[in-house]
Amino acid sequence: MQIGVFSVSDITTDPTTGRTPTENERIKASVAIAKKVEEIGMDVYAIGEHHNRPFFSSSPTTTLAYIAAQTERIILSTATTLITTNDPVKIAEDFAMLQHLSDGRVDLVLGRGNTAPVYPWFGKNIQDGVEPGHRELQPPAQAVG
Amino acid sequence: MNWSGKFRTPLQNFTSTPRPLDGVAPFVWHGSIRTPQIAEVAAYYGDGFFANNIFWPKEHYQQLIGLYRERYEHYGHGKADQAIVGLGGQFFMRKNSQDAVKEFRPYFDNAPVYGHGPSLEDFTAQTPLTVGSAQEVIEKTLTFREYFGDYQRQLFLIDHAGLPLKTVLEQLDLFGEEVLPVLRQEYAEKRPAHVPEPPTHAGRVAALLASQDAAKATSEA
Repeated sequence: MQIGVFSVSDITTDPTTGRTPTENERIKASVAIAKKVEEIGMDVYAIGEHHNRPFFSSSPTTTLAYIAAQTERIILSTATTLITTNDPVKIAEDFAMLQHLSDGRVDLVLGRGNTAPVYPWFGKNIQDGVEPGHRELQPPAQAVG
Repeated sequence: MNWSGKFRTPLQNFTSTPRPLDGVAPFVWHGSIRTPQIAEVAAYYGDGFFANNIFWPKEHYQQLIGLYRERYEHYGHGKADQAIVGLGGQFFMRKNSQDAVKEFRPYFDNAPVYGHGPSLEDFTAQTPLTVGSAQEVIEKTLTFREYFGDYQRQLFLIDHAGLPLKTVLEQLDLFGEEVLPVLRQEYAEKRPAHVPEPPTHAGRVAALLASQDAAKATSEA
């Protein structure tokens, strides 16, 4: 069994203090949490992908590569990588890079993404969301495999 | 490779760069909150299925995971209970259960995802969220394998709803001391031998080499 942590990367006001962390604080916090995951003996750290507020994690492989450089054992993963709005070729190449840099400590969770406004920003239509999750899989699966 | 389809420009004589490490692509899971087609896709490819397991009662995820397991077997990747399943979950704990409830309540009540809705008590009774002691986290987490079958990966959401970093790191320290060793032992004792280990790069490289050896032996025979 692999046991770990996944983050949705929300930036939320602390209701007990009224303070809202900055993007920079939350980004650095994700690195601190991942290092703690390794320190306490867990197995996996995963982070989500979002392109809208109140979230910060638009580029998971960048974050995970930075974490990979500061850890030795944990698996780096995603929760999720948006197969609907990313170019599947770019996903395949980004994760192959991360796989080499981390000596194989990487896998990924593909997801559709359920935030309607994000789709047109990437030239996509949410109505196609279920089908491309299937269809667009085929290029990266073959390109990587 | 060459490819053409609806959702991107065609590819001609394309080779992704770099090539995957040791000739083995990273393991792929498919994450779903509610879409049966995603369970179907994961089963078709023999990939993993990750249910975020946060918002809804167990019956909801039992349906999705049950469908994935059934279709995984249908497509010939193994028995239903050998499909590769990952689950989410969430907790907030302190040494004393009442302290956990008191400290977490304002975060729960104001959280963007479930705040201003059900009470903390209703939500913890009906969903995988545990707010309490380490023992309560252990007990609830161990119910997951009873509901969804033996599985390969358990991830927890802990750094959300405005919780300060210091608090999150304390949660992890407590988890490492009091929860992790117990879960490891329980999972090791309860997992049947035919249920696969979680996917790792080393395991997938070994499987590739074994299949190449088998193919070589067949061609030489």
